[in-house]
Amino acid sequence: MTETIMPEERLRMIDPQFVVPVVAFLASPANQVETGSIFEAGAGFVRKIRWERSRGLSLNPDSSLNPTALIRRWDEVNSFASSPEHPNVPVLSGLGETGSVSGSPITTNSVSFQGQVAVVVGATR
Amino acid sequence: MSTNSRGHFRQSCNILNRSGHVYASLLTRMGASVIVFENHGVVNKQIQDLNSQFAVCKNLASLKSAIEKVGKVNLVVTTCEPHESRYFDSHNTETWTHTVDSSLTSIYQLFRLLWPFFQKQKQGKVVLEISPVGIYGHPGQSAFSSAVSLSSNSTNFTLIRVFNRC
Repeated sequence: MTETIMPEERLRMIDPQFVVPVVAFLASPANQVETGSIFEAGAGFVRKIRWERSRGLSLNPDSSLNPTALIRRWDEVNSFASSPEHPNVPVLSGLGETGSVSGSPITTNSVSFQGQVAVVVGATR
Repeated sequence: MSTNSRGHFRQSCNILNRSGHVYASLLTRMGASVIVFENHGVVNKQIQDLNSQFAVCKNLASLKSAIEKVGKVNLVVTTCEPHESRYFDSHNTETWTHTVDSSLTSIYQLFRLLWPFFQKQKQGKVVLEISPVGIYGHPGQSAFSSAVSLSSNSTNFTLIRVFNRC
């Protein structure tokens, strides 16, 4: 698709012959470590891609968990500054434990969808 | 949901819509006009009582008509769920086809219907709620993992539901 717009030297670099060795190693008996991983390879580069999960936010699973409470602490959900994790399975630890909520729980939700139209697919009880 | 030979959407499993029910109820309480796209079972009457513009659509044509009547659609919430729990070695072609139809093809058909509305509005949000196997992969749910991985690239937000009571 991009052959007509790339310089000749760049086209030479992205030849499949520079990707196959990566696959050969991963598929060989010499690889005893890597499985379930995603790699980018080409033009001499070989890089691993992984999921990164923030430490996140833990709230009490009760009525205080509402959109307004989330707005106030959304920065914590988005922060990767403190020891992010690199998971390959969903988090299951912490289930059933009470979250630590600093200050008074926000029990009143002020987020509104007034004037908005929402389509929900499947709402059978 | 996927289409059968008659062109009607069908549910893959009637226990898969607990989240849909919760979304419809919550959004209604928060002031939204909610259109439910559902062709299986009975929608909770409480949702209908809360919202005068509530509508239930059982096929794509009626969904399109309902959106045209209201005049806009701001938010779409849909879920992907595994077709059924079955070990990989007992999968067959029908399992794969049904799962991909439910979790990918039906999403595509829904997006195709919504796209002209979003284009005209220059705004629209789609939330796809999926099981973690759609992100991390799972051999026993390989069809589902593949389908939702592709579906998740089509949405503004992908919510991964970690704890699932189904």
